[in-house]
Amino acid sequence: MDTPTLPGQDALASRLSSIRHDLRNSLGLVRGFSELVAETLRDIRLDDGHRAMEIICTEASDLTNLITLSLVPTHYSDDTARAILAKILHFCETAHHNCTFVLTTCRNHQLATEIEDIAKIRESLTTLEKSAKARLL
Amino acid sequence: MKRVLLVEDIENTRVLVGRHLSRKGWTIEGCSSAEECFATLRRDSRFGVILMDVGLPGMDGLEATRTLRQSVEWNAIPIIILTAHASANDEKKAMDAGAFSYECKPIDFDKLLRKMDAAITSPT
Repeated sequence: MDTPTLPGQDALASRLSSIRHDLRNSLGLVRGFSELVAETLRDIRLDDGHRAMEIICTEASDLTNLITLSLVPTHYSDDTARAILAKILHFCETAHHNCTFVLTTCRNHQLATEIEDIAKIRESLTTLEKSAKARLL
Repeated sequence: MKRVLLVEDIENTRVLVGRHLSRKGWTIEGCSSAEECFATLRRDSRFGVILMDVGLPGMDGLEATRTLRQSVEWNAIPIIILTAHASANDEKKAMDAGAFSYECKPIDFDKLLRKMDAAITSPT
């Protein structure tokens, strides 16, 4: 049997589910492409670049967990939304910074596929940032 | 058979999944809708597993899974549902539709690969 819900609760649950879906999708792309680049850089012993990509992977996972746990009707408030938005924007800024560093490494070693992957990470970061601003502000 | 049909409408996700799986020895064919999936299977159905996104344009991935489960030709191909919706209810919906398994996005590729290996070795 379905649990009875208060008026407006279904609408909020549905809206939050849609926001979680969009943010998790973008974070999934950021993490997935970062894992690919990290693996290549590890295999050819470019340790600094590997570490920079690993940081993006870890932070993307942490952010995904935070979104999954916090963007639910029982925990949601305007303050929660603002706090998550701030974390997402901070993540995007540092991830872009790490991508710039790794991109230079990849160019120096002519890693064409990884250069394309970094472009996809950046594209997904931009989507994540836009989506978070539009839906959490 | 390490050959997978990926049904996913977001191109970057198709690229990402394809890159991860091909590194682990899988051959991937991608399509972007349920209708395209059926057309691909009509041409050649020799896939060890199907990875099915839920939010597809037109027929959604759950309906496509139910359709495949009811078909005579393709009902033996295991289907793993992929979705960015992550609740227990979403998992139940996927399993009720006839999926072999369910994996939520962001995809944990080690976990997904274990499920794919289990899918191709499990008796149908």
